Amino acid sequence: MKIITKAYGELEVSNDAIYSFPNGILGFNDLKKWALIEVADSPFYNLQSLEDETIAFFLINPLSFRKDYEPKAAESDLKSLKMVGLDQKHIEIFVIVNVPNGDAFAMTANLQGPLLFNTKDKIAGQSISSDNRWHVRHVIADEVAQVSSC
Amino acid sequence: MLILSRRKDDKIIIDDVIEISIIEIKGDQIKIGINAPDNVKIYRHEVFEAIKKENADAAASTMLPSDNGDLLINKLKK
Repeated sequence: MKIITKAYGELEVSNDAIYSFPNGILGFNDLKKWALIEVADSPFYNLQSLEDETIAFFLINPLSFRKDYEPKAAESDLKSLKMVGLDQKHIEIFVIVNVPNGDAFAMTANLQGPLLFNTKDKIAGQSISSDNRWHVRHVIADEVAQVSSC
Repeated sequence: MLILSRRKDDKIIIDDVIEISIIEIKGDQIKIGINAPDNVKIYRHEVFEAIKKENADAAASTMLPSDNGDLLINKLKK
């Protein structure tokens, strides 16, 4: 289907890319339909609202810079996303990145509010991690530097 | 807003199933105990607000890193 994206203008996406967010995303609770678009030649994904073309996020797999990442999501979130007992291969976890002024070294990831995707039933949602190691602004460059210096 | 006065060890019941207890009062700090079914999500208000604000900031600045970060970006495999 054809959609309008904030980052790329008009774009053709497959139906597989469309996710329903029953509870929206915190602060954007009314937006229930989103497209998850893989960004070519890059570690990023684009999450575009289908109901408001001006609202989009860039996402990244947190394991790409924090091998020890676990979302520690609330049981009730897993239930509402039909993830209880779901095969791990149908679960994808992404976090929202914030890139101030396009500066890669200032780029942060929100590990405290992970997005959980049920790729089988095409439903997703934002959870709040109960793990106090995770906060809303992890500087990705610092996380990568720590791994390299180990 | 409903406002109730409670003393130490007093409780409040919400919707028959959520029980809030005043555990300890010390100066300007109060320890609260909450018993609730596991489908009820409970967060410190500031955590909830921080995530909401971070989402709004990220949505406002939707852009990818410019070329300055190629070395860093190449380390982030999908």
